[in-house]
Amino acid sequence: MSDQDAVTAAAAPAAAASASPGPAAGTADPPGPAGDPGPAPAAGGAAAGAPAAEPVRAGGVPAAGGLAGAAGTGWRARAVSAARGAPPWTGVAVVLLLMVIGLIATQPLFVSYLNLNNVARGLAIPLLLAVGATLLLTTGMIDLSIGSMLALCTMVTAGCFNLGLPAWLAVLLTVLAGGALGCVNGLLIAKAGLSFFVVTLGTMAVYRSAAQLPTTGISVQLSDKPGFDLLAWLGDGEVGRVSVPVVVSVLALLAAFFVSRWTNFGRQVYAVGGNEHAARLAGISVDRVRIAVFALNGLLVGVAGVLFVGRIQAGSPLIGAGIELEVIAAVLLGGTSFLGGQSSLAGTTLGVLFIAVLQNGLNLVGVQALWRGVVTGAVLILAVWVDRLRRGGAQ
Amino acid sequence: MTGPAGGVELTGIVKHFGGVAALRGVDLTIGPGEIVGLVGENGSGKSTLMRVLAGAEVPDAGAVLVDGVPLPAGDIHARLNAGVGVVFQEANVCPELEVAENLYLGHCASTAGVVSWGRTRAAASAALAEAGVPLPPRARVRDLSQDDRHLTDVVRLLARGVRVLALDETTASLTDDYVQRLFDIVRRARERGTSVVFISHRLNEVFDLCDRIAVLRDGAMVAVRVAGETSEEQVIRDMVGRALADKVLRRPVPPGPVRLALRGVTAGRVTEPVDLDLRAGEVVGIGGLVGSGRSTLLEAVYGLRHRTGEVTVDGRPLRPGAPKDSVAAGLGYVPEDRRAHGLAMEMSVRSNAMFVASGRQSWRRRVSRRADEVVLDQLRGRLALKASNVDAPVRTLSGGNQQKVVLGRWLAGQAGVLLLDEPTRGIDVGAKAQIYEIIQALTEDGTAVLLVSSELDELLALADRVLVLREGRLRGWFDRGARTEAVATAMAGSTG
Repeated sequence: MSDQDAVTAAAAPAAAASASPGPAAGTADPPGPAGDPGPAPAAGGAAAGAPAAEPVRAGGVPAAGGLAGAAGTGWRARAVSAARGAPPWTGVAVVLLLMVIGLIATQPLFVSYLNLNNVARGLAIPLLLAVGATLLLTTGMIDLSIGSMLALCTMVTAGCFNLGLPAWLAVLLTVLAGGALGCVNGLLIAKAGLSFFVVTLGTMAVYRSAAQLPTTGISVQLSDKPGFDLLAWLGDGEVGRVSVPVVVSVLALLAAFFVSRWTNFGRQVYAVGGNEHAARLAGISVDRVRIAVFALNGLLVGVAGVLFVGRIQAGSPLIGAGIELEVIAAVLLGGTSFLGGQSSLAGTTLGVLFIAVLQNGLNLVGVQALWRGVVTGAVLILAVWVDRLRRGGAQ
Repeated sequence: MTGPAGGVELTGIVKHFGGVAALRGVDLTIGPGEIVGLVGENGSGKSTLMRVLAGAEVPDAGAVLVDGVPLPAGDIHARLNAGVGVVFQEANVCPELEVAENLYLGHCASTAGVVSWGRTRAAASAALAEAGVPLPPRARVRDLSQDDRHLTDVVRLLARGVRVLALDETTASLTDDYVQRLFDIVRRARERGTSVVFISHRLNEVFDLCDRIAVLRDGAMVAVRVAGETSEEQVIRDMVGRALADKVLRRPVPPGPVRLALRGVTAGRVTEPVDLDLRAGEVVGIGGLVGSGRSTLLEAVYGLRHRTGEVTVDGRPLRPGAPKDSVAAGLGYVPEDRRAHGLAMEMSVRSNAMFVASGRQSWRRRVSRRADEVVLDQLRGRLALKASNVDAPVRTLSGGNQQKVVLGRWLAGQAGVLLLDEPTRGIDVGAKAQIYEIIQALTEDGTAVLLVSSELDELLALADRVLVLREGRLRGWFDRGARTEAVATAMAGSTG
């Protein structure tokens, strides 16, 4: 069960970051973040980060100020203008950096291999899910059912394996099952024309129930048969000194990056999210793109399910509750827009890292794990607010 | 297949929305290397026709032919292959993507499935240069001005080699400089043999650019004229003139005291201060083309936009920007767009009709069906409202009956001054006559009416006086029985 905590425990945010290390250590105070409530961290962050990161793009885009007349005054306006040129994840990067510096300075345990490896293992599955969620959010959609889907996938792996299928086949079937579950969401949304919110809220309940039905809600221990070692290695093994789930999630991240940057399918994902009407007029099959992205997201959830089973050596119908919130918070924190059409996988990675480090920091400082919800929820709201400010206020 | 015939042909296009006919069998032919201006008032069917051309709308009947070959209805891919492209009012671009990618949206140059950004940008550079649009291909569209976004949208179609180009109100939001640049682009396209449809509310632009001018009214093509052989006045008469066989003239009522007074009111595009006294029993009409500021003026009076100057109702001044006060003072407003701003389409006829009356009561007051019934009965009687079931959603009613519900809401709310913006838009002839009768009955009861209509004859038949606006400025007052031609001339301006 402590494993379960470690995974679902991938969340916690900025408000608490500046609130808790402050009193505890008194070092995290100096630059921007302390006084102001909300976007101040992002403001300070963007301003500080802009000069460093800017050269990448400064040459390409002349500042044709069509939208430049953003509303607002004072810190708000400064935050907006500073954030406009910088990559969207500059804010989270700077706050993450400050947090890491604070932890290194005050928590000797933080930099130990044991602790860092623990953080890395804990963020592998959220990262995998966040990659899928980033692609989805690029089209302007969110899948609320990923937590339930994850639980159902672990039951598929454990069930198939215990029923006597070879381990590799159980893995393959789980990934395909994830893809199919995602496909169902996508079909209902694209073909029946329902809103993503309604559909995935519904399937969130359906998939959760379906995971619990076969065993009346009890988890299924993997039986000790040939193939057990493969599953255990996938979930908890190491390549060199790096944990296998971390390797898998980084590979998925790189693959997603390639697809979204260098394939026409990936670019169509951006087009559909950026302006659906324009995409349609450009001859893009909007429905197919939507379904494919939901299916891809499902495949990634399937992979995450396999890793999870290997880790806890069981299928559990109860895991993953609330993980969608943490994943979405990480993605938004990374600068992917709530409105679609724009995304940053680098930012998503930083967002996941941020939440994992914050979580770890809170543990080290001795804050009760029960605070996680407060912190995650606040991060979520903050991330959307900053996104809105970045786009020049309410539209 | 590029025979000398070429061009695009729309034949017998019919389209209904609900019970309302948007297009009633429209024919339009544009030859290769020809620019045809398509004009008409709001709701005349121009945009619907363009959506049919673009394949974004499936018509009930009729066909779109390119080089004599019919295109499958509603098939966007077929349009792309045949080289048909439409630029809509909104620039259809993805703001977060760079200009080059927007030109080839989702179909960038690629090798073995891997997108080649170098080739994509080079092709974009070439296309931009050919169109004479000096935008850097790597600029993000988000960072461009609205004008440049529109040009990006136009170049997107040219880059695909369109042979039929339609511009739907593309100039409406462009600055003068950009209008000229767009015209240059369009003229060069004409030299290459492209067929162009140009839609604009600015007639001087249409005359400047087009070879022929086609006029739509109420979903029908009423005239196609050669630009060099006609005048703005003639085209305006085509647009707004209605040869009503049964020309109704409202019976005038002796005017009572002043109910609504405007003193030096300006708002938005209405830049010249407006003074106006509207008396009980009187109907004052506001004439002008789309964009003249006629709707702006009504919205400003009602409090939907910022204004300067003073508005008083029954001698009491109204705060600007506070519709709640306007309602309390007895002002009623029937908006131009009934579906978007007038009715909650899924709610019942009853709820829609009681909007104002119940809004004026305390939140704690219990809803009384019996009290509602009394009001509804009155409405049925006064408005000849045909609603078999007042608990059915208002969307199930015909356009005319829907409009009666909007009007009835204000009667139930006991408004003494009505601001009517296009009250007969999109409703059939019979319902129009009924609306006229309702206005007659209201004025006889002492209600004062400020009326906007794009149908000139309707305006002259109903109003005691007509105020004409052009581009936000007063062009004159006309009394009952003024000649249609004189008013049309005022709407068009002194030039021409």
